[in-house]
Amino acid sequence: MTETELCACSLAAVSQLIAQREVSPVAVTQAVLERLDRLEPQLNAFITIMAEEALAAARQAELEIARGHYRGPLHGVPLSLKDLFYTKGVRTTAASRVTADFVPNFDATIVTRLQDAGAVIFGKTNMAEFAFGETHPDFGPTHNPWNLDFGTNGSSSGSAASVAAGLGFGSFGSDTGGSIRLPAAFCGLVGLKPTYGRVSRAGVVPLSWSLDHVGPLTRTVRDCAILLEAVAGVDSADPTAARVEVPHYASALDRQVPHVTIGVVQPATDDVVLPEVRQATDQAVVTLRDLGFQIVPIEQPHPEQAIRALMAIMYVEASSFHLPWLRTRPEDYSVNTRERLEIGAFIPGTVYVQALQARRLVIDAYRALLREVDLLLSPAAPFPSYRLGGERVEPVAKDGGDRMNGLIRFSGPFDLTGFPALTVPCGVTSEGLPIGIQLAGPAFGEELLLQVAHAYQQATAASIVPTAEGHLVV
Amino acid sequence: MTANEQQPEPEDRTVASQQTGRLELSPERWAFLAPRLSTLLADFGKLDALVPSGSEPAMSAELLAEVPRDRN
Repeated sequence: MTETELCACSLAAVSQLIAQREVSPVAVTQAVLERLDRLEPQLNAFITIMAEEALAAARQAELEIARGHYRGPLHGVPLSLKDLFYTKGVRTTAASRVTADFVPNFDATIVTRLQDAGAVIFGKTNMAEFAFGETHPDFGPTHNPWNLDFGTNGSSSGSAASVAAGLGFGSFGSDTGGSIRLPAAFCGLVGLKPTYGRVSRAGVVPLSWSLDHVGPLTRTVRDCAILLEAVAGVDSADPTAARVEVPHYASALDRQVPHVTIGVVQPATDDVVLPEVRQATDQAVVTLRDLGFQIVPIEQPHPEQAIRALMAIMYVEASSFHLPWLRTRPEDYSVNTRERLEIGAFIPGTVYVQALQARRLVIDAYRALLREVDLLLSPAAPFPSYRLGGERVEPVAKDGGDRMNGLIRFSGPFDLTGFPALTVPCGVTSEGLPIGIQLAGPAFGEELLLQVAHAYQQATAASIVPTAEGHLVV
Repeated sequence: MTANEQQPEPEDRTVASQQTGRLELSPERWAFLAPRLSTLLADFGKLDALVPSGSEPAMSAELLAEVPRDRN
């Protein structure tokens, strides 16, 4: 098996090869690191490469497996982490000059859980500065493996690019307005934002405490299920981690998918969805109908107000976290991040509370909708990826809101409500850029979400799931 | 990151601790930010159309009160 063939395997497939001792964790890790050496100069997907630590972990895994101590599907499998997860002894920059030299003295809970599962963590990925939308010039933009002239969107930009390029078999990101799902969709991946409280955020640099979620980016739904199962569950270090049993997400994919009704978000005059994205979404709906799912049209509840409330909460909570640094070293932020954070410091508390009042109404509206249908479907984003190299655009648009508002129209409501949502690839544009649909469901309904997404991906994988053959920079 | 865990610290804690309440900006910086803040606040003001006065705000704890429905 060549390096490219090995790196193109799904997580589930390489895991099986390792379990059956057809390939060693060291060989897999070396293949990933060699590929990374070759592609990273083009992608800029990583901030810190942990080659020595990864090879040591791979050797340990190899030894354990040889002795019959196989830990499970992540044993010996190379994974990466967005560079906001605390890694003991390894710098955690959040892609900012402010924290460029920060070295945590403990691991984030999900890092510990991945290590306990035997995973090989080989790098910390590039991201938008503090996950707040902008790239710091010290770190630079990540390029999209599908077309290097395009970006991956943020904020989990390097996580998406690396997995799409076959650099590791999955990555973990964070999602506060769409930061897992949007880069995943723009890179032809599966990206899951779990229910608020499903995955611990202990040891994760926050953007906005009440909106932040942690989740996986993978090439397949099955890989996503494996990773979610490994990290989900209650955590004494995170008071928001829910005491809700963790299902066997991966094995649930092999059961018959229950009969479900999918509510499809209908076009709105102001949703700015590009025709190619609409067409791909419509085709996905046809496929799901052909698979036996009942399709009903629905209207997205309060789309603009939901994003307005989300942004008001995000600005204030982010500024609150950053206030000490804003006072002492504001020049160390990128221009736009500094601007957003400083503005957030002057938003009145009454506005914040009003956003929380709106949040309750939006939650109630989605809760009511999810009593009528089982899942919701929309485009992941109104448009595909964007060309890199444009001029700086002001964070606050002339017509009022933050300029991210349009982009996160479909993703943001699920950070506001906490309901789970994932994106799965549904096609490519005429320029060859990936398009994704978003499926969302009730709280702690990840099992059903993954089952339906898996059924869809199984029906369409041959045409639209990226592999290291053909689509990627090789 | 929870409150009792390690956080990266600002370099100069003395300066940080001597200031209170809100961010202090130079007049030039304030002149730059004020119109942008005003524009954003005007947009947030549109929440008035959705939110009845005195309604109960959402707290993150209530997001956790949901339970999965039995599907299988």
